[in-house]
Amino acid sequence: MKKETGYAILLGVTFGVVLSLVMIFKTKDSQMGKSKPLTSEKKVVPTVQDTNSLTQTFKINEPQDRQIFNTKSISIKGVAEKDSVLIIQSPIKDIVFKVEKEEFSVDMPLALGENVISLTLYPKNSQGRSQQKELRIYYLDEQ
Amino acid sequence: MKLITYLFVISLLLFNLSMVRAEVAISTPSGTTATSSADTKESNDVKNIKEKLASITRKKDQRAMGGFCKIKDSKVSLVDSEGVEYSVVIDESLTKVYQINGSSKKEIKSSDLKQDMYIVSTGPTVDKSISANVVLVDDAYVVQSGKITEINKTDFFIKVTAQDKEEYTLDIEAGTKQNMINPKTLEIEKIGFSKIKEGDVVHFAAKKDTSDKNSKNRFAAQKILVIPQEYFMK
Repeated sequence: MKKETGYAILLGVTFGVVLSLVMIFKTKDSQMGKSKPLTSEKKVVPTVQDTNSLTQTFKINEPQDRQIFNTKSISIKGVAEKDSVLIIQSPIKDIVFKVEKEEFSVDMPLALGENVISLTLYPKNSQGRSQQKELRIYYLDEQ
Repeated sequence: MKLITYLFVISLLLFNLSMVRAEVAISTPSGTTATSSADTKESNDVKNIKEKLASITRKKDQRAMGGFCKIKDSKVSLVDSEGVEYSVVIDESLTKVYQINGSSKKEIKSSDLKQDMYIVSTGPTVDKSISANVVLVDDAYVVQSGKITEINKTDFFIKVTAQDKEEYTLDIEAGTKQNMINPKTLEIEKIGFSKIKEGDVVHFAAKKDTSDKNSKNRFAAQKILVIPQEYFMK
């Protein structure tokens, strides 16, 4: 075998390796960006429906439990099932209202010191289970 | 032969160039190289801003803790509603202690704190130790709701089973505010004891202390709000 042939083989192999490496990296990058499912078939996942969780959405977004305030009243904001009845009770105030939209916001007066606020949600379906949450809010006029 | 050698060299150069580009792409700037005085000033400013932000966040996230006071060997601690004990570190020069009376408060001495008082403490909390900024002596309340299971019209008390299956006995006294929700309008209306029926739901607020009576879940109700059974029969 001639010297030139050896060089040509070496050059060919090197070029092939470089080309394949470039191809591998490029393919990987494009796959990371957009991964598509192999089939368009929709997966059917069996689910057990919990009627309680479906009918009773109840979440308090504001305020946080044990939060300190320097104001005499606060806004209680949250999410609850539409048309359910919410009773908010503290030692100084009782509030009863129907949740007209899913989101609610209620002003609640605070007493100096600790305020135990109980929130009970009665679902639209009056046979459904009620849900109760408790907040301990602190009003300190000096902080 | 020369042409082949040139081609080989060019392909090797191209390969190295691509490797260098890849390295540049993953390199990250290092923050330890800033040595000029301008940079140092800037980093100090950033540090100050960070510290200010941290203090604001600390203030914003500050929580208070309430519980019955426990005093042992002159050391104050509080036991919260879940039975967890927190030691309250009082610094005589820094900690303010107040007694709440309705809507006003009066400064008292830390030595006025007594066993079984209900106290609220604020301040940085590490593990189960509160470095108290403020200690308030307050009233403890239980605010609950449940179904009325028994009505005693002789001794004026009702028995209530709460959602958590806890049983409460509520004394309805002369000063107890008694209200009922109108099931149609949801208005709150004043009622008398005779209007309360077994099976109604009641929301109540009562003062709590460490007495034997209270420890057996018997309270003098401060106020009750009754939801009549009719509401649930709609």
